[in-house]
Amino acid sequence: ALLLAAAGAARADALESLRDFVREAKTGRAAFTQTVTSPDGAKKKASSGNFEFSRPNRFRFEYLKPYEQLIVGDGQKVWIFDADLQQASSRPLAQALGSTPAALLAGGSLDKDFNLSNLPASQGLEWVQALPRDKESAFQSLRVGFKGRALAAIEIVDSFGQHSRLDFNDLATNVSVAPEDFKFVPPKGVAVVE
Amino acid sequence: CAQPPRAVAPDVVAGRLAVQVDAFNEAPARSFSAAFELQGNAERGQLQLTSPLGTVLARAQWMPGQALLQTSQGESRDSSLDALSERMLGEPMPLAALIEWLHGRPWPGAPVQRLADGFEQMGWRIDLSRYGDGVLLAQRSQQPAIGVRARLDQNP
Repeated sequence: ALLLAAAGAARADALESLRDFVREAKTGRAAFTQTVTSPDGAKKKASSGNFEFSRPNRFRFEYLKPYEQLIVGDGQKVWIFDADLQQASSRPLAQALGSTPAALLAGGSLDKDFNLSNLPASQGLEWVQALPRDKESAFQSLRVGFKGRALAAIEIVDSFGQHSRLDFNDLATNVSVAPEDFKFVPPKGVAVVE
Repeated sequence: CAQPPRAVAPDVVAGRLAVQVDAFNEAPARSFSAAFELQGNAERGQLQLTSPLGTVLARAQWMPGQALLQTSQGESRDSSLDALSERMLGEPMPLAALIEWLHGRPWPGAPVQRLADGFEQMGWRIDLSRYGDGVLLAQRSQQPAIGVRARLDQNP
C-alpha cells in the first residue's frame, strides 16, 4: 500500500486513493448526509442516514431523515423500500448497478464501468471524475472526493443537470458488517413487485 | 388569525408516490415509486420524479394539446397527458385527473360522486380520509387494478 512519508503524507492523488480504496476496502460503514440541488440551484433538499457496503455489489443506503427509505443491493438485486408508502420494488443488479455511485463504492470493475481522471482539489477535498462508459447511463458524471486517502464525498450529476452530493463522515473501512444488512426481507403485508 | 404564509406557490405539491399495477393476462405486475414535485394543474404544468439518491428519473411538462416526457433515455412528445402516462406506465392512467387528486380535489373534466371520506371518479376511488396528514390513496378496481399511494411533504 502507499507508504506515507514521515513528514507530510505524500500528496495522495485522488485517482490512486480511489484505486487503493476499491482494492483494499472490502467493507465500509459511515453516516452520510445527502444534499440534492436542482439544476437551477434554487432548490436544495437534504436527507441523511447510514451507509454500509461489502464488496462486491452488496450495499445499504438507509435513509432516516426526513423520511425512512432503504436501498439494498444484495449482490443479485437492488431493492428500494419506502416505509411510509409500504412499497418495495426490486430491479436486477446489472440493470441498476452498472454506473451508479453504488458501483463505484461496492463494485469490483471500476475501469470497466468508468472513465477515470483526476480533478483539481476543491472544498478541501481531492477529487476524481468518473464518467460512465455506458452511454445509456442516467448520469452525466460522478465525482469522488477524498480527504487524504479517506473517501469523504460522492457527487452525482444526472442527465438533467441535477446535483446530488453525499458526504460520508469518517467512513470506516474493513469493519465487520452483518450479512443480513445486505438482505432485504419485505415486512409482512408489504406488496413486493419485481 | 392570519393564514400562515404558504412557503411555496399554492399550486406546488411535493412528496412521494408509489404506483402499483396488478398482473393481468400476460402482463406482469409492475410498480414504481419515486419522490415527485408537481407544479401547475391538469391543464398546464410540470411533474418531476426523483430517485431516492436524488437523481431525476423523469420530467413531464404539459399544456393544452401537448405533453412532453424527458427521461435519461431521451425525449418524447404526446398529444395528451393520458397518452404520456400510457407511455410511462404501459397502462392508461388519468394523469390529468391524478394531478387534481393530488391537490385533494376532484378533476373538473369528469362527473364526481362524493363519498364520506373522498370521492369516486371514472372508476377510481379516491380516499382522502388521511389527507390531513398528507396521505392520499387512489384505487382503480377495473382490471388490471391500479393502486396509487401518495405521501405529501408537510413542508415542501
